[in-house]
Amino acid sequence: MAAADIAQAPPVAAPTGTGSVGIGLHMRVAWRNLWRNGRRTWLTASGIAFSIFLCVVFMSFQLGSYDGMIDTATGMMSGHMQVQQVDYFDDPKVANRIAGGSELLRELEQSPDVVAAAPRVEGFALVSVGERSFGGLVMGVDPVREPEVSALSKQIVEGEYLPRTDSAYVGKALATNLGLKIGDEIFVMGSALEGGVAAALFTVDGLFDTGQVELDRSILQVPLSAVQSAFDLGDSVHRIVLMGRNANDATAIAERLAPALPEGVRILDWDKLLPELRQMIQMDAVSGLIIYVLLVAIVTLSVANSFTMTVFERTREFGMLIAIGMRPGGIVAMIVIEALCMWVVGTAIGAAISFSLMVGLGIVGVPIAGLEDMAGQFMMPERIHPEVSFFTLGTAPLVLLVGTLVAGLIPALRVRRLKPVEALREEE
Amino acid sequence: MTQHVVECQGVSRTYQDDAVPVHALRGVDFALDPGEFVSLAGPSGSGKSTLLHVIGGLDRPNAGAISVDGEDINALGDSELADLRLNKIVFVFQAYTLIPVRSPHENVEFIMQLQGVDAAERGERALGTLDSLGMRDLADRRPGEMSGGQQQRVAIARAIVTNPVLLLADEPSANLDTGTTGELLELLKRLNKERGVTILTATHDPMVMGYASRQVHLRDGEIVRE
Amino acid sequence: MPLKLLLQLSWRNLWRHRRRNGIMVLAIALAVTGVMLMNTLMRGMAAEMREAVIDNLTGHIKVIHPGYMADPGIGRGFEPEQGWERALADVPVAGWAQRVRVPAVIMSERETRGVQLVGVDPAQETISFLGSLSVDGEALSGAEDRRIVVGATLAEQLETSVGRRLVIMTQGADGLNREAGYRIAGTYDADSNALEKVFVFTGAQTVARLLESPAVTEVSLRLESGDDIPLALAELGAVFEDLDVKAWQDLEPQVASMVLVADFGLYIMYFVIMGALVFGLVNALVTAVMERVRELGMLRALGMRPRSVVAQVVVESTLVMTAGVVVGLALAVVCYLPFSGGIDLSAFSETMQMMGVRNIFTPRLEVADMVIVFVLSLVLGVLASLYPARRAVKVTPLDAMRR
Ligand SMILES: Nc1ncnc2c1ncn2[C@@H]1O[C@H](COP(=O)(O)OP(=O)(O)O)[C@@H](O)[C@H]1O
Ligand SMILES: [Mg+2]
Repeated sequence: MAAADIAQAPPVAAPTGTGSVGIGLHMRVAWRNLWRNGRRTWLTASGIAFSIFLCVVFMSFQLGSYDGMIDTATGMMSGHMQVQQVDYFDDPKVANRIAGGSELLRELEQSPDVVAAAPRVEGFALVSVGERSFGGLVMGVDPVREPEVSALSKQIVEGEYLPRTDSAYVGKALATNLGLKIGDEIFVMGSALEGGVAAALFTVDGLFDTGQVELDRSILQVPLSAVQSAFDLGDSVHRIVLMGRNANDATAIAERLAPALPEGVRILDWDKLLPELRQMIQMDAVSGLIIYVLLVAIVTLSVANSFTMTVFERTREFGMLIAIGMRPGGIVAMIVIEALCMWVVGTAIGAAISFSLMVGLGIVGVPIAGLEDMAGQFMMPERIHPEVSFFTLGTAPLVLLVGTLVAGLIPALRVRRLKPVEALREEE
Repeated sequence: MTQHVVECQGVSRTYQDDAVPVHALRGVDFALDPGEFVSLAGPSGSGKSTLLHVIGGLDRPNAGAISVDGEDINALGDSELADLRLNKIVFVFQAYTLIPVRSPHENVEFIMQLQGVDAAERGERALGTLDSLGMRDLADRRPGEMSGGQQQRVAIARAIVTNPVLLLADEPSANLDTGTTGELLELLKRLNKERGVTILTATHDPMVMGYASRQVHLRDGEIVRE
Repeated sequence: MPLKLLLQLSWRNLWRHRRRNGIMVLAIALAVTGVMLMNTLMRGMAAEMREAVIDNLTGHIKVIHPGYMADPGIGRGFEPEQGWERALADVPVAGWAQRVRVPAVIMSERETRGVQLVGVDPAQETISFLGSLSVDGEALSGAEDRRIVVGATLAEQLETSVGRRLVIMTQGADGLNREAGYRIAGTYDADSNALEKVFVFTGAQTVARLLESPAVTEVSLRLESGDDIPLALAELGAVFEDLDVKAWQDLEPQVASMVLVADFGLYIMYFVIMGALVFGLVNALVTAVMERVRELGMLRALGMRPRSVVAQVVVESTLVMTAGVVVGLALAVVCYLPFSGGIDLSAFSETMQMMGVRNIFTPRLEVADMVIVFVLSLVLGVLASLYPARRAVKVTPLDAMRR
């Protein structure tokens, strides 16, 4: 052993030397030292690789699923943003309306940020077929614009989506409960703007099935103008649903659009429209973060442990190096460089496996089998595309780089207190 | 006839080193009678250690039969060999002889603990033995704080406390100065005389050889002279 | 080899390298504390969700007409026989309630909303959230009460208040609409606004009169213990032959799956975190073996059996694990105690309500989970020591001599 140690030691070339050596030599020596105990290096590097793999995979899936959740949830009904009368969100009653809806709609459509916009009028009403009736939400929509902001029109299972001015688009469950078929007439009755009775007759032309019974049993869509006239709303609307290019831009776009809106009207981004979505994401992110922190902390500790053992075993060698004129600082640097090399090995393995996996899955997506129930309730898409970005792939390796260096440095600092004579006398 | 404590017949041990076979022992015939104090002599590499190892069951011969206290050790499995060593054979090594995490007293007790001797008897015998070797005051030191000679003496105390049949010592004096070697040899001699322990040492130290009742010379793995 | 000797040797060997083993213990403790605390949150969440579901008129078991889920209405009602509850003689039941629950439209002078009209006998409703509801105004006095109790949020939306009248419209068994006006006895404040918007309560007889039907739409039972559900299901199935007898897990599959996820969550988190830790543990153990080659060889020469060598490595690993786990669990308890009374989560209120959890959230540290973590760790400690132990038995006495 001792003979080998000497061979490993950087030569102190000239009598004028300072006991410190160039970084290149340090690198080579550190690399060779690292493999003197190959088993330990592999184990420690595997730990680094393992946690990098887990962190990268989890983070990619986590962030990927958020995007999917946001897209699915906003695409269902709410859109990326909505323009509403200021009180409508807290108190969605017919009177809380935006007057002059069609003009505002046109203005909003002019904005380069807005990819699609659709007006809606909503009111609670009694839906009757013959003698049977049911309470539900009647939603007046623009048959042409609505499909661009909401997925409901794509959930059609029978018939057509609002082909005529008196068409109704009804949930399958509601149809079953009321014994409705395509072509049947339904009568809708609610309270109009100033307390009057709103009534209108529609023909069922299409049925939808979202898989969410609550929705399927309580909503029906009819053409906008029919509801506006039945509820005495004139040109007023309750919501103008807006889509931007990307759900993540919603807040910024909303801020840009807000100043141009008329008095008494405001714009809400999905964050405010679907507060439970944001909170669910936050809670999930926090619990993910705890796991990441634990993983990194534990791996950092095991790297620290590995170097504690290394430094302990090489006490004699270090004593000898100091005795022949190497500066303690140089030894500390050497150990830290060894830690760096350790990180390189672990990261290379962990990153190689996880990056390729994530890039592959990012393209094809992963179906969430068996979780349809939860997918429905928690607004999850059916496939998750893990997010591949600098953040999801790079964070774990970089944080662990810091962790590894610190874990190498702390045991290494003990070398500075090393007395060569004592070190050399240390029993093997 | 009295039974031999050790009996070797045609014992060979060949090491396969880098494809070149090294014949450490070539057909050694050798016996030890009860109560003998025999010293194996011979130049370095002549096979002394190898012979001690195969007799002690630490290593197995490639050919030949070895019996210790009437037991054919070729027929024993690893655990049975361990038990044989535990109960009948003791070693005194060249260096590094004590369990570092145990005090001398505990080291001496150790084999008895493995043997299952009860605590009271163990303590008494250990202290008695240490006492008889004049080491009672060292009983609770840490092995690391003791000199080589002191450690060696504790190792001998540990070896004899169980009344072994056979004591094997490989270069026991290698790390000791002349004075300490003398004390050690006196000790072995006493053991041999008073307790009748059969002793086999391997050494090229003439001082050790002087204490032995018989000398066996090895050269290139063969016994050349008795 | 005597256990005491084994433990003593192992303990001293560990102590000899306290720095390294200390780091290991710290890492294990950190992992265990982290996993346990996450688990207390998940458990608490799952328990609250389960309780909320059971409270919110579901109970442990519900008897309904097979067609009720798809078409909730009095048309899917039934009349339980008198004394059906005697079938459950050997299952401890906390209580049961018969209700009529039908979809209805409720109208004030200004607004119209869709609700669930629930006819109850308040005396039976100790088993649901109704029993502990805080009501502004008056609560229902009995099954005969002709007034209604509505959620505070609904009252606000309908722009009405206690003492005023609301019109309720719903379908009778014949499919024809019935309509009647009722005075508001009180408004209730539930943990969740969603509940307040949905449920309107009145006396069971009142609903029967409105619908002109003596039928009920559900019988809900709460058992003393959720463990008895399968037994109770079997016994009730025999009584209500033509009806669906369903456990809450079937009625609320999402919540049931969340509770299940919480059960698995412990294992997943444990193995993820501990997986990262095992590398370090094996590392430390192998090092301890390799450093002791001479010592182990000497012990073998002295007559220690190979299996005692294995035992020693296994015991050392298990001791480190145990120390880490004990410290970790203790730390988890210490961190948990200040929050055992509940954490205010109003910042996350919408999600909580969506998941049926109250704003004050009570984490749960379950002894059973602590035991699981402890046992798993011992198993893991043994597993982690297998490779190092194999290394250790490979050490022959000769290795000790030759060095
Ligand atoms: N494990 C081994 N592998 C290869 N050769 C060995 C081994 N052990 C001993 N030898 C060789 O066997 C021969 C006898 O060695 P040894 O018994 O140690 O001699 P001695 O103790 O008399 O000095 C030497 O040539 C030595 O190199
Ligand atoms: Mg020799």
